[in-house]
Amino acid sequence: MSNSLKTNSARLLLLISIIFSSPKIFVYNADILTYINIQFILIFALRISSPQTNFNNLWFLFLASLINDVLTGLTLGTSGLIFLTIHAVASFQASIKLRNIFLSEWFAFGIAMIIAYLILGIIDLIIGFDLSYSKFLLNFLFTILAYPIFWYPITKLYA
Amino acid sequence: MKFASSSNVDVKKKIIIFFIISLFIFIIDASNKKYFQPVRALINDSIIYSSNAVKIPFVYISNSFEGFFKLFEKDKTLKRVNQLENKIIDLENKNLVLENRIRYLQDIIGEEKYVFPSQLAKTIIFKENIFNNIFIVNKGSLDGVKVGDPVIKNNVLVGKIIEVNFKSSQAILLTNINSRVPVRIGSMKYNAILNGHESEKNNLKLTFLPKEYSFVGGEIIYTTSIDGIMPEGLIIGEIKLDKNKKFYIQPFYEVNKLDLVSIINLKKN
Repeated sequence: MSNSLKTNSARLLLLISIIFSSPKIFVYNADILTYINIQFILIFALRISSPQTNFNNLWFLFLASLINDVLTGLTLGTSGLIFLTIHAVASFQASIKLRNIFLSEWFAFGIAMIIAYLILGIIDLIIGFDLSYSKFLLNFLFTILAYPIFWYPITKLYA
Repeated sequence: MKFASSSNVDVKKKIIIFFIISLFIFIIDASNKKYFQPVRALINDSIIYSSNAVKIPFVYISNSFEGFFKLFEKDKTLKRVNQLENKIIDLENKNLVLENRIRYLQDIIGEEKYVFPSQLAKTIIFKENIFNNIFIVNKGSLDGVKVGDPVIKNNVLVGKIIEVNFKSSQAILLTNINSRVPVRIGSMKYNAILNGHESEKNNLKLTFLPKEYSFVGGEIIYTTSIDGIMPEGLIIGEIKLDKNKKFYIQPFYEVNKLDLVSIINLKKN
């Protein structure tokens, strides 16, 4: 895959995941996306598999985060803080890796998720929103567990 | 954080710049400044309608497929439509009689009268995440929608408006953890608060029930008016008992049928 195709398709994937992220597949009384944050996985996996994927010098990532905030009813800037944190951890991991080692990438993804969810928790405390902590924890765990499912096709296409 | 190559040093700078911009936007939006509200409404409207426009071709294709398969059920559907039309006429007549009786009884007891004009709205986005389960409708402040207005479907309360833009509004379902509605239950007229609660069956819970309450099942739950924040008598659901005789709330609406809803405009007569 050529570099321009890689970067354009990465942007398109992220945008699709944000705009179409309401598939109405219900699992235990909740939408399946209550459990998994696909955007988090995509940002990390795309950046780490293809280091030239910097989402138009991060402008695109920033705009995507604003779209996500509006469509999910979050305070503006929330997704920006999270997306950029994940991108920063992925950039760091991409800069030190010599080859694709799944376990080390998964571990780094886990660290990125801990930081991202900590920021989410702090934001929740600031806004004073009633948050379901069991859903929050489940979302965190399932997002980490779902990483390998996305990692394999993304590495095959973008590495 | 250390980045190895020189091109990544540039990325590091940009991450910091955009992080600061995001933080700045977050602080302004979280502080709920009045001057930022029209800007936020404009951003919301443009993003909501743009993303909806992107979705239109896909929704059209999906609907076309559904429509094609429904062609085979045409005769059956026509028969059902005829039956429903007759039922509507019957119900309209009954409704007229009941409205007159209610007005007569309100005059006798001197109850305060409210008029609740409602307007039809289309659900353009339905989203669920760990913070929210929200839906966005295509009516906003320019259509007279206000924060706190109840949202109904077939005269059943489904949620309320929490944020208003110019031409769209954001609403939460009754099952949202942040939803609280004053209700009255059954012929015993117990007062309580209906909360969204994710660990309860159907994600609904009653709090502040009187100590002596007892349910036999089938009690209707409807809204009660406190300072006019909610219209009196909007139906929500009913009490049901499970095998262990523990009660739960069965709402009268279905989440996947909320494509068209009505927004009640709260005004005192």
